[in-house]
Amino acid sequence: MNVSIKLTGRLRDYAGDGQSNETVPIDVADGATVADVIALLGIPAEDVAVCSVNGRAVPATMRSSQPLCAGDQLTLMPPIQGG
Amino acid sequence: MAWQGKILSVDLSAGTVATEPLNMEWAHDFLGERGLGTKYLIENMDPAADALSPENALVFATGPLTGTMASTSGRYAVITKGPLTDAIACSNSGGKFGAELKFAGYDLLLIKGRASEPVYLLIEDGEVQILSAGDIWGTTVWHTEEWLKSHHQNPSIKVASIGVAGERGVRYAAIVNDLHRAAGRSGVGAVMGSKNLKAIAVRGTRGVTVKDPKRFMAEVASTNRLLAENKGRAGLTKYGTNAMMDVMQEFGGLPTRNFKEVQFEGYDKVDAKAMHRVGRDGHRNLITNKACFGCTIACGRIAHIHKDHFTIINRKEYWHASGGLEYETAFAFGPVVGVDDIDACTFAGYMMNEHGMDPISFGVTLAAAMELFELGLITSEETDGIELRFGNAEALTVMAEKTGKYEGFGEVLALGAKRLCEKYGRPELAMVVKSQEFAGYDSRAMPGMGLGYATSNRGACHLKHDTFAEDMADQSASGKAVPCKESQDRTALVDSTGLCLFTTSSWGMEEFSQLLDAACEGEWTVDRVLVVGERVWNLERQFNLAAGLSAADDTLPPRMLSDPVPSGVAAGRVNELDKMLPEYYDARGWTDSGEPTSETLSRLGLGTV
Repeated sequence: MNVSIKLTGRLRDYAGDGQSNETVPIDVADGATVADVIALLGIPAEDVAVCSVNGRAVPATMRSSQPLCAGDQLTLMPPIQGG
Repeated sequence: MAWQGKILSVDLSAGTVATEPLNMEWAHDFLGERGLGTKYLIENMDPAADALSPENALVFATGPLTGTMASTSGRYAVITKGPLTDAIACSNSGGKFGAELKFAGYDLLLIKGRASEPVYLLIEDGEVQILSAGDIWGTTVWHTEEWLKSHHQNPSIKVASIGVAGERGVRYAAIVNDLHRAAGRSGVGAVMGSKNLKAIAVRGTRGVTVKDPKRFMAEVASTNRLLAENKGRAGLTKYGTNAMMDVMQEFGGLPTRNFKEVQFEGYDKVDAKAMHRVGRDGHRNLITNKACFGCTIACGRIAHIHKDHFTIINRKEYWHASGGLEYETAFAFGPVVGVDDIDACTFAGYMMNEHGMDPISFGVTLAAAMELFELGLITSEETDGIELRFGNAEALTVMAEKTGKYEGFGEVLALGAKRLCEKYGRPELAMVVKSQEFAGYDSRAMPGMGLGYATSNRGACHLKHDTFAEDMADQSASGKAVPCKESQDRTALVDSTGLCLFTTSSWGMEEFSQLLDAACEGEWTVDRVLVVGERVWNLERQFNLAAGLSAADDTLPPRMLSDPVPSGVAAGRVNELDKMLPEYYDARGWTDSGEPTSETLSRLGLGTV
């Protein structure tokens, strides 16, 4: 199935060009969870502070159990610090 | 060791200077910079005094690690009573000025009184003169620095100065050093102006000694390696702090149009990516990054404006590269005023540096004025014909310049958001705590941030605590009070060392304790440095209580407490400060009315103020 991914902050580097802000479509296995997609992108789990699906936050404890649906938008946000 | 062991005491009323020994007992209790500066302030003024009167004192304080080989060792702090807040002001800056002051032989400058005519201070390796500033009064920060270097025929002089904004008492006037680094918050520049002190020019050629040089170098190598390998640090180097904008956008914590909203449709035109983007005529906003003294992070941005942009057409003096957008400036000139023009935002940043103003306070004050304008309470007759509407880039840039020059409606914007909103009968529209404007994080989406804003001793501030992880993990009020208190204490310690807060992307208290233990006389364990941090926080609280503030000032504007956040991951929430504050006071060892108990003061070795 196809889902779209939005990487923010320094996580953009995992998209390759480091400057892309656009939502990127990717193919994942049916029933893939949020954690599956994070692993597929090669992002260490601890580098994702917040993830949301269609704008709704996914608690860290639910990442491994919450399946995605075709067409979902998954947004990943890194830890941040004030500045 | 690490401390130079001397302070410079300046009485501007009498026109005298004196070198005095550093009070080492205080240094051991309050360390340096923010902590030691606060101690010196309290011992040299009545906290109830008017911030803009000669009775206020102005302290420039370095830390024991300022000017050492440790990474980010360029920090110094300005401590005084703030005219924006009527509370303690502790405004921290980087650049090269702080290390230079240390190299000149001083840990701290204590400035009292008021000069009868404009003056500047010239410090050259312990030789100190008070000189007439008649030739530079009324000029900009940028002109002042150039003039001083030229006049004294020494390009190595480092300068901290004020612009017209400081001279004329803009409530959020900054002290700018090295052209575009600033002790920005709470109006410390207005205090300097009230003393008729235009600038401090310093040249130092002495070193800083440490207790155990071999061990210290090993600790420096070890801590530098941690920074080098840290992903958060790498992000700061590559993108600068503005990498946070799209994170806050997606999270729904990006204050937009005076905090009415938390997501801004034009965010991607002013974020870090936009700074990197090559656009028209091959122009790219960002030129390079920049480091302060001794820094291995280099989060600073150097940028330029497209020469065809309306702000600088036929104004060649602004065609050069200068300090670029960071997250807080991008937020303050972008989303919170609804502007998505990166060149206009960059120009507004130039105005802050050139004239010496705090961009956060200016931007949030302008946002409040825009809301009042759109409500019909401010008219274009008052604003010199400018339509003060959200999204109007010309309103942003024109008002930034007018405020810096203290002209026209800029004189009203100079009041800050609280006083401006009171003037127009709508005090609830000021997004402030203790009269100081919010930074770029919404308190409803980030409840720990709201608690940190409410309890910050210098008024709303995002840099006096660190609950980012807790806020991003869970947007309820639960579990925020203790992390807020503990991070406030850690931050107070870091701000007292002479090093930059951004090292905490990689370092914990263990690293700070090891660096201090290798550099400073005595034994600096983790437990000891944590007590120093807590002691500094409580001393600042004591200053505020003596200045007349109370628990009633530990609050947030009604918009944060009552209006649900309209979108983002925390949609529907308000800040539940009433649930967090009692737990916070309890964790602090304070009474229900927010005063440190006698047991707490005794445990921290603090007396009465």
